[in-house]
Amino acid sequence: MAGRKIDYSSLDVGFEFPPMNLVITEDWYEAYAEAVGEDIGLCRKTGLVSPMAMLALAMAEMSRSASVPEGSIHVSQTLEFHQALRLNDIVTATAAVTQKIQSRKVNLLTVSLRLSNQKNEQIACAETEFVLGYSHGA
Amino acid sequence: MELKGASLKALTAGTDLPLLQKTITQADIDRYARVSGDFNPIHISPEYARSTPLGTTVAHGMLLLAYISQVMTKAFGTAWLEKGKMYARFKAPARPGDDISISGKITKVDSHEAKTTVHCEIFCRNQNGEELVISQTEVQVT
Repeated sequence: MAGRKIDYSSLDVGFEFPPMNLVITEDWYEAYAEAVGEDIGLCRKTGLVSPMAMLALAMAEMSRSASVPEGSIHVSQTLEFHQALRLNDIVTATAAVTQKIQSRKVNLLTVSLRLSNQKNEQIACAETEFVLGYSHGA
Repeated sequence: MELKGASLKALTAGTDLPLLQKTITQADIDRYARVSGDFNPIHISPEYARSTPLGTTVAHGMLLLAYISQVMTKAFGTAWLEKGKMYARFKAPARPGDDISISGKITKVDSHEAKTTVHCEIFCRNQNGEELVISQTEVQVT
């Protein structure tokens, strides 16, 4: 993607990421399964994919438009999925900043994510909380 | 997927979930960075990591959550892929060379009308027994 990335540390509550259209292809899922050491047999048998894979793909897509400051750390994760996701489903992901806490030492940011399928059915929602960047020597 | 008969009866509070053990390597972390697009240097640059309070690179939190999800899939099959919830809190980082174990148990089984929901608690610990991730999960099995 061309253009400058948005820096997460400049985001405020209410900021909405551009909607993302995502597809878990067989090739990408095989690469994901290899990376996390997941048995892909269940997917081959049923066509169902791990919801963690979709979350990873959505976060990868978000990283194309916004950069997380160096040293940022994942603090907590909530994930709720309402129905199964299949290979090649077309998923629309919308994400927004829902909380920002700034103090002298820690900057906490919470991003909420909603995923819906090609039938416009909500399939999952997630909330990611992370500390933005470690300041060196802190 | 619906669990039936003996499988469903086996779902009682206190039942252990399948144990998963992994050794984290920098190659694992690099592989996850490529697939997730998360090339934050705290994950992939030992030189950068040395200059931070963490001192070493650390695994992506999402990689550890993928392991937790694998435990749930082993225990509950497609039921986990169809309807589930996870809340996870990261307590400490997983570092290259760590031998981690992901273990958990059923904490509660709720049956209401035709629905059965299984609640679990899953821990990800390193070789020193230090808790890296604490997670509560729920899966609807019928």
